[in-house]
Amino acid sequence: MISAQARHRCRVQLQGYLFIAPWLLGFFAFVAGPMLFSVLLGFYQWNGITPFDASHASFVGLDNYGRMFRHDPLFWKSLWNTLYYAGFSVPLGICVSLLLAVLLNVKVRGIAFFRTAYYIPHVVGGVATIMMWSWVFNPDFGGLNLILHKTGIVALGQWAIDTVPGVKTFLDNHNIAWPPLWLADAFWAKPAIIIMSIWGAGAGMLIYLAGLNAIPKHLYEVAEIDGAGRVRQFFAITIPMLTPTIFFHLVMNIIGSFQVFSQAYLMTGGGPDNATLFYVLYLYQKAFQHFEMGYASALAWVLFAIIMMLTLLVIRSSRLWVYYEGEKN
Amino acid sequence: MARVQPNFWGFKNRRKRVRKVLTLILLCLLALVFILPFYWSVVASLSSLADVYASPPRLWPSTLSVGNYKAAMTVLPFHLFIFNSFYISLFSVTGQVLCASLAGFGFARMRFRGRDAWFVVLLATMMLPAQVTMIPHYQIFRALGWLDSFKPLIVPCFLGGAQGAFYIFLMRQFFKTIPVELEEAARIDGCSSFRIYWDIMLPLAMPAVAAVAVLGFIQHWQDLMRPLIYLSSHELFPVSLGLNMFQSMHGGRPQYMLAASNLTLIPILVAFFAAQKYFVEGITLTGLKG
Amino acid sequence: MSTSTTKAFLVGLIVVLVLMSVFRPKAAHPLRDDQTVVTFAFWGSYTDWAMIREIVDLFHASNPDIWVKMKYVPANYGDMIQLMLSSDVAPDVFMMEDEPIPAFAEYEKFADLSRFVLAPDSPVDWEDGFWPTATASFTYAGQILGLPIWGGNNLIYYNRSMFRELGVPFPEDDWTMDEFVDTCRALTRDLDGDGVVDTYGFSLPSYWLYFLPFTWTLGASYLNADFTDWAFVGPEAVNATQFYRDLRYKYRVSPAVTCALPNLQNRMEGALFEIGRIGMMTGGSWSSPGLLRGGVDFDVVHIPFGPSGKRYTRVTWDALCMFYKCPHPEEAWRLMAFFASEEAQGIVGRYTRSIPALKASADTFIRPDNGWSEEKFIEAMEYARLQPITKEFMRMFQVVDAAYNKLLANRISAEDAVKMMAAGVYDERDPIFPILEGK
Repeated sequence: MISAQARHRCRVQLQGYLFIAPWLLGFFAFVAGPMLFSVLLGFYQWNGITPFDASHASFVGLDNYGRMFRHDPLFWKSLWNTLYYAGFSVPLGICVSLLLAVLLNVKVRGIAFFRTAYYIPHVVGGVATIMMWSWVFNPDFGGLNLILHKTGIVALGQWAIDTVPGVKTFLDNHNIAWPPLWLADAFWAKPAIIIMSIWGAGAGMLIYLAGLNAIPKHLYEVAEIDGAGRVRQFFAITIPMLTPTIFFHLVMNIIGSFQVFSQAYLMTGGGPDNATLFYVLYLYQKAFQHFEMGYASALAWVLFAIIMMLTLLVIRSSRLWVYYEGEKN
Repeated sequence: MARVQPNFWGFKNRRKRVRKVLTLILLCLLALVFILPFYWSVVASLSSLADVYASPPRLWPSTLSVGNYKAAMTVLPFHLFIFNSFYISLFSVTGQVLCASLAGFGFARMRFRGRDAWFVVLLATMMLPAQVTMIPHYQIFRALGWLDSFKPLIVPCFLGGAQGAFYIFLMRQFFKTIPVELEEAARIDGCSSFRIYWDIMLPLAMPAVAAVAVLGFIQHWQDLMRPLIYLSSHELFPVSLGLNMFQSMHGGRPQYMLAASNLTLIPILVAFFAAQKYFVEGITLTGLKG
Repeated sequence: MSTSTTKAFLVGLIVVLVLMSVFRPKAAHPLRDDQTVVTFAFWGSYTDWAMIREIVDLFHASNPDIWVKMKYVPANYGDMIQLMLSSDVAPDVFMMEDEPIPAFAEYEKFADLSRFVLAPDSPVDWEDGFWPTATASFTYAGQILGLPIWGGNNLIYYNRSMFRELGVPFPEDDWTMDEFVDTCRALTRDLDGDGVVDTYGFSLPSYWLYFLPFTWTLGASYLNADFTDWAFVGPEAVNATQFYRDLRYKYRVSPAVTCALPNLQNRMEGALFEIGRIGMMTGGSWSSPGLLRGGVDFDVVHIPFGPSGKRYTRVTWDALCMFYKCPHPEEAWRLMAFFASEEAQGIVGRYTRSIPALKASADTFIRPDNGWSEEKFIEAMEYARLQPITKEFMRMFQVVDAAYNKLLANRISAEDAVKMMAAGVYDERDPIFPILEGK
């Protein structure tokens, strides 16, 4: 006989699995198989066109991984490009979207308009955005360099290059063009793409807005009565109560920015001089332009390992800084 | 208890008003930067190229005409594309909201063995670049005979596919912030887990549901890769593919593309404008707090 | 969920979803029992789509026993074809450009068309019917892998109204490189005197294949005659590379490149050309429909003669290929042959986007009332050359592209760029050249 308590425990277990059952079903039906297949592919040499069988795919063991670390300079280059991008875009993205959300979380007439306006960059997306940015970054006719010219920043920079000792040699040694050539120059292309990514902070803003409004209002009322100022309220209530959202955004930003692809794919093709050849773009080229699906799979799993390590680090550390209202015991 | 400060001079109110005005000014300035692309594409689609690429840029076009819009709408069956996009997006979002809220609730509020491990698996599904799983995915849907139909686009959304992990994670985070007392009270009243999810938690998580719905809608509206892979008859094309028909490497008219893209943005902007109030109608039920 | 509005919303949603399902568009075409289905994949802009539909409609009219199921791929065509080939569900007939042909040919997924093309009763005249570069582009290792349907070469477009405004005489067809540079200089002006150049002479192509006419005309060549080894060395190579760089940094007649991606750069270039900020650009006939629709007053001029008194331009072709597992090769071949027939090639010519692959249909491309000299594209076939396409084209492209990126950002000299390319293609870790068994 099973005791009532055990039966109850069993039912709770089952209920938990029932809630995640749709996802589990989808995982086993559509996701797990292709993922396992790609693990396998990482140990093979296969072109991705002919059937995956003995006559067209050869088992190469760990050779794909060895090649990556020992013989492939573009692997290191693309990894560095991706780290550079993630290193700037993750923290900047979080700060900007959080600040926007706080700004927009006021009750004034017409706030709906502002919320929509700030979200527009994320909505417009696609072709229109790319056309606009290509104009903004055009070195000779574009809007950004025009502003730099009119505000005297170009002249100031030129003055510094001409008079301040060491600046010119520094710029020359590091191949930094002035005024910036943006997407056409290896130094400026990455900052340009980071600027683009920050400007699309609307999606993050949306999530923070939802998070902000999930904070019980009475906490602020109590704090106000206690005489806490705006700034103190922000750091003592808003930030701690938002930590679950920040945690979410941080994890998603890490996962997303390490897989940055479309901006480079649509605007630079990885150039100039491979300066925007991000990891996934390189992997895509290997898989679909150089017909090295096996090698691409190995590349993918190395990226997977890197992202997984960082994510686990964040999850581990989250016990120290994430506060869940629903788990305070 | 708290000290209530007397407020004879109305200082506090005036400071509040000043702060509000300052915030508004800041909001306006920033809004200019963020709205620029949309403005730019509207101007470009309504006027000539010369205005758009003028330097210094002209803020107001010298000529206005809806010719590009007319041309864009007549050369392609855009009404069909818009219908298809609505069809795909509405079904997908419905599936996504259901699946994400269920699984999100499960991961946040249910205790079961292996929960945390499964959660890491959930995150892991987002970490592998889609490029290397594209071929087996395609083969699964081919084996099911689903190619050139909406099924490969919609069915996975009900099962947590198509970036479903992102939304499940989002919902989980929100369910975790809801005070535990509510749930305990309901359990004592003998509510089942599903009742707690459906009657108590889901209404409280409306801001997150709205966020999932809006983000999901836009994701499916803009999605290019999956429709590109699975659809081949142009009668089934959504707008994202339709827009690409204007985008040819050579000889395309960017103005047509911008006009068409602006038209297809209208539904999303309306949806967002309508939904945005739900983000701010969050937990205002302070009375519930024990 | 309890509130009545939520309930109303849910009910409304369900009603909408059900209604949409009922009125959902159906892709299926009612097939007759006696019809064979031939699937056909192609890419292109909406005008190409319209043109291809027109041709297929015509084919249906004369071939009632075949139904062509069109698979239109509006983006990432190469990836999608690879995806379908790898799953062995490729369309029976599919369009391919010449660049990836040798690389794809390695995998034996294309049917050898020789048995149809060279058959005694073949409707196509392979030896003399097509432009010679067109048939050469799709003959690989003794096999005929594609039936060319259309293509084009590059000439120099110039904006007539801009020339008139600046008082610069229109270029002559027998001009030289020096005259080209002089014209560029005359077009480069600071109109308002603020120290910033307002109009430029020539748009520097970031896509180095678009610069091939100049490279070749200056006497340099990337590959040897039989495309097995790298040949971009010596003074000619440095000289041609120097010219690429000098247009921007010595003569200062070209604006900076906006970005390295050809697609985007071309669009930017087209826009700047259209509004009269750039006087000249290279382009194929495919650029003309957009410019005509935009009401631009433009014309094309031949490539200038080089120091040796010769000139060259690049030519590129599209073809129809057949999947090796195609279940109805006879029917598929009928569709392909129809595309290469005079009837269909006449439609291709009429759209003036591309030059018909069939020589006999060349005059359909020339339209007397267009107001510009499209016939020069036909004339230029005389000096058109095949691009340096081998099975290693993609990797070579990246090596060359990276060197030119550095060159055009003024980071390295022409000598260094040439050295960088040679080092890249001979990199001992993974050498690209020499190719032993090649085209």
